[in-house]
Amino acid sequence: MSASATKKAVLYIFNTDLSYSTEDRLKEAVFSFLCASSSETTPHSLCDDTMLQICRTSLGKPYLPHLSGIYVSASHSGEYLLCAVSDTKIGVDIQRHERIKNETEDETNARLQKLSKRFFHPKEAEFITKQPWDRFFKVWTAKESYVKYTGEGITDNFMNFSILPGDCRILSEENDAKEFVRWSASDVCFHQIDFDQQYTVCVCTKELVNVHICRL
Amino acid sequence: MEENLFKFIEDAIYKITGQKGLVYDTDFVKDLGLTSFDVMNIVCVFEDHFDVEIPSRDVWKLRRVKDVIDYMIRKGLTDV
Repeated sequence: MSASATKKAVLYIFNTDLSYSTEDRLKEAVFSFLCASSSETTPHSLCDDTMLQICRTSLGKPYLPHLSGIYVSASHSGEYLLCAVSDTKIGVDIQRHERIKNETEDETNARLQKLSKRFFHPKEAEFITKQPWDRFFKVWTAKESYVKYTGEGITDNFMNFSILPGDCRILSEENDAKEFVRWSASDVCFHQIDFDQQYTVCVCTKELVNVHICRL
Repeated sequence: MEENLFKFIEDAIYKITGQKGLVYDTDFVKDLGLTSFDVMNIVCVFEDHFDVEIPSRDVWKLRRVKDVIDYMIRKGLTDV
């Protein structure tokens, strides 16, 4: 991780369990984040349940009205619910790589390209024409993490911005396939996180952060 | 007519997600756990069938099956 990343973000990974709400899991994640950040010897004295209250904006973005300086975001797909907690504004998205039942590989690629032409910026749609299966989810989760970061959610503006590193600001890291995994675009930073090959995860923040993963 | 629209919605959701057992009050997120990706795929099914483009600002207001049925009737998307 870059030494210049001074902010911290933790991705808490939960297995999908309908007996817990997203709000329950966010509280659990925030509590863990504060415990890890605190020097107090009795973590339970850190805060009571009121302080961990999760509210939502009119557009559905979660926030902590009683804990300024702590930001949260959540996303679910398939087996997992992810809760991101940070000391900087954050958005997270996870997407399982899904094929429709009985769909051939060619049909899947055609569907993803159609989706990208319908919902993505033209540059993004062009980007995924090569390797649609991998690149579609990369772009999708980055765009979703961005609109969760801003709090606007998916609107008609979704196709008007590109998350691709158009000005070549790839932040040093590439994976084995030489695809960028940390980059900046649209005045934010994107971090693609590897933890399960069947999923793509992306985190969006204003600046570089150290992203840690924690399974609860 | 509503029953035909309901069947169309049910088939579209089954095609994309494999989920069944919808009722008129089924909430797409709370009851079916649909993600944005699922919703976008379902929107494409609708758009392909009716040869229309459904604005994103309309999509996110449609939280339940009956909301979609009402929307389809309002927009004249009834030829299923």
